[in-house]
Amino acid sequence: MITAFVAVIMIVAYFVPKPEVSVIRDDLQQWFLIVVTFTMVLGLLNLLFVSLHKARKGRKEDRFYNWVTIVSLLGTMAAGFLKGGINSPAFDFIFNYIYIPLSATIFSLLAFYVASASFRAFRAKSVMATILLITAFIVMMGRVPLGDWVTGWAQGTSLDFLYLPNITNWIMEVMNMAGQRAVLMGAALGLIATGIKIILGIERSYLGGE
Amino acid sequence: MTMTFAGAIGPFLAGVLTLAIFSFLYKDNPVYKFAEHLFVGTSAGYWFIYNVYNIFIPNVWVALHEAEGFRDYLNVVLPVILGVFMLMRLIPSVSWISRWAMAFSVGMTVGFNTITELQTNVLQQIGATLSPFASLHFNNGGLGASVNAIIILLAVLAALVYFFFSKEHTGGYGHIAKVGIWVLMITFGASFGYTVMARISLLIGRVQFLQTDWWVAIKHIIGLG
Amino acid sequence: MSFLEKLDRLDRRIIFLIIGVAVFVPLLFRVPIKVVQSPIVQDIYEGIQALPEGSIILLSFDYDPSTLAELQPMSEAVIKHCIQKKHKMVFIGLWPQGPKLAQGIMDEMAPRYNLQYGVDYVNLGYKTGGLVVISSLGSAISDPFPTDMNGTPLRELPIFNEVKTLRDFDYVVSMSAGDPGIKHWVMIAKDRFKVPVGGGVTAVSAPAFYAYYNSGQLEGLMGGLRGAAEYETLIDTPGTASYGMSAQNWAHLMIILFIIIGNSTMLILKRRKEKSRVR
Repeated sequence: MITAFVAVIMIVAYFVPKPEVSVIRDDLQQWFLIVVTFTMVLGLLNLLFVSLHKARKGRKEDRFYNWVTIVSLLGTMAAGFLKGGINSPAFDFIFNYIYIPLSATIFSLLAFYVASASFRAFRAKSVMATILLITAFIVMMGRVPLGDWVTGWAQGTSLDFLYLPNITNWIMEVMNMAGQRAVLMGAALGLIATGIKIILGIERSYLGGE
Repeated sequence: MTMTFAGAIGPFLAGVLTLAIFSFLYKDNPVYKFAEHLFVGTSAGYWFIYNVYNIFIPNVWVALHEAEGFRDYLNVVLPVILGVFMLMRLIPSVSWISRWAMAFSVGMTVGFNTITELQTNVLQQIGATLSPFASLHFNNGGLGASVNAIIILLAVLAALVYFFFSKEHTGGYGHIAKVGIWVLMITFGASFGYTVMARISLLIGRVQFLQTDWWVAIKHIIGLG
Repeated sequence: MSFLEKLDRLDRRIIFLIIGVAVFVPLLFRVPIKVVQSPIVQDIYEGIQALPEGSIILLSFDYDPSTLAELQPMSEAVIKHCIQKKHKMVFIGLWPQGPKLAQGIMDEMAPRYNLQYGVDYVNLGYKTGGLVVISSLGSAISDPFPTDMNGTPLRELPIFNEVKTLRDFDYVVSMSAGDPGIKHWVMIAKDRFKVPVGGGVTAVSAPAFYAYYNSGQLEGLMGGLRGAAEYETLIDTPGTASYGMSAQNWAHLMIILFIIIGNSTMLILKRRKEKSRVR
């Protein structure tokens, strides 16, 4: 009922720009900002409780690391509550020299795994896979100076269509765009159908069971 | 790049933590695990602090103090109550009450998404696919754009036909679906190429940091800078 | 075991080492590379370039440090362009780390270009809620952001004498690593309030946004480090992206070689197995 009521107000407010409706919509939007903040707090408390449990009763070899999580969490929070708040030197130090390098480096490991996968896993075992790989080759070469070096001679001549950056642009703006548009439309229709089911109360799995 | 000794400690530590994460490439080890758990803790702490200073203080604390009138108070107190209901999820005996807050959040999201998805990702996309046909011409330099418009229309239709699984992909319908798969394979190939580009870029960023900031910090710390 | 069989079972750590060297060595030479322009990046540059001097741009930092290498260079390039054109800038973040990353850039640029906080630029900070935050901006900026990120009320910041709602901005630029991000700016800022939207995304998500560019919902888009390098070339100020393209070049070549070698090895070994089975 609450879900349907709130959703219908938002839908009506989109089409009916009357002040009486807009005021309710604006108020609900403010409520949403605050409620979602508590969702973040819920996630944080959950992490804290799970880490505390594992630190005290988990596997012996992992207990130290769970204490690392707890101490770093509480330490970061303490730094944020010092004088200066989010601009305090301690909080700035943690953000710039601990959080940024760790976050950036963890995701940079993927470069190595992509290289390993390209050697061991990316196999052209069918016509479709071959089309995929050839397109990937063209795009990978066309998006770096390599494509310009290899086919630069064709640029501005009658064979301009062989210039790799031009081919890449055409693939991205025509073929890729068409496929992505179809995926976008399909996904949107699915989302709309699910949304209607939620509003009508047919779909209730988001409530987490009775 | 000028740097004091105190100023070099931060970048030096950042470089050490970077290498700690990279050590995983050799094999899983305690140094990597330490860095990984440190990341989880600082990340969660950062999120909490930012939510306090950027949302709780201005939108709740200050708003409550500057509230004029009953409606202003309600607009702070009621969502805070709903937020507290959300936290009740942690207590099994009263976790049922968190469903009210969840229902509100989901209702807002669904209400927004249903209309905006229809507008942005369906109607506008259909319009963009068909609108070039209003001014299609094959001369005076318009050949390329017109051919592309036709290819786009056929490719979008073929790919959408492929996604429609309520009808069996046989006969003429099956041939169109096959063309749709080809279009999707080109799409995924382009995505794969860009994904490789993205992953390599992230590594480039870290190597640039190690070669510049970290190297300068090391030189300062050992007295060469 | 033959050479090809050994190659097929190559220890992945050797592959890691090769790709590491392919990235590390070119970067030692620090050679900026000017890259060929693509129309999609050119359009966002021209959109900002065409705005009259003193226009007010909303820059949304919707990413975190995990995508710093791709999105920070393009953020710096767009900010430099806005400074060159004397545009005013309002920063916000739909991701919690975004405003602090913006602050890091402005801490360096503001003193260098004599920019005054509150007059030339403001950092409003972060709000959670994605679509809802953007929609709230459409009613009044002070609804979701009663103060800036340091707690200063908006009425004390001169920039907000000129902008009261999202409609008052001349352009929205979103640097986006996922959800919430540029898609939501298109949905609300462009489709509902008709404010031009451009931006930058990671290369992983760039292909998906070509549909929005084709339909005119996105004015232009920078995709990944390559997009950032193109923008740096357009504003004639080489930065980390331009320097990074040399390593990108060699790394792509290595990946292509890996795929070719991997597939060739598989094919040859497969044929050998079939021949020995026939015998």
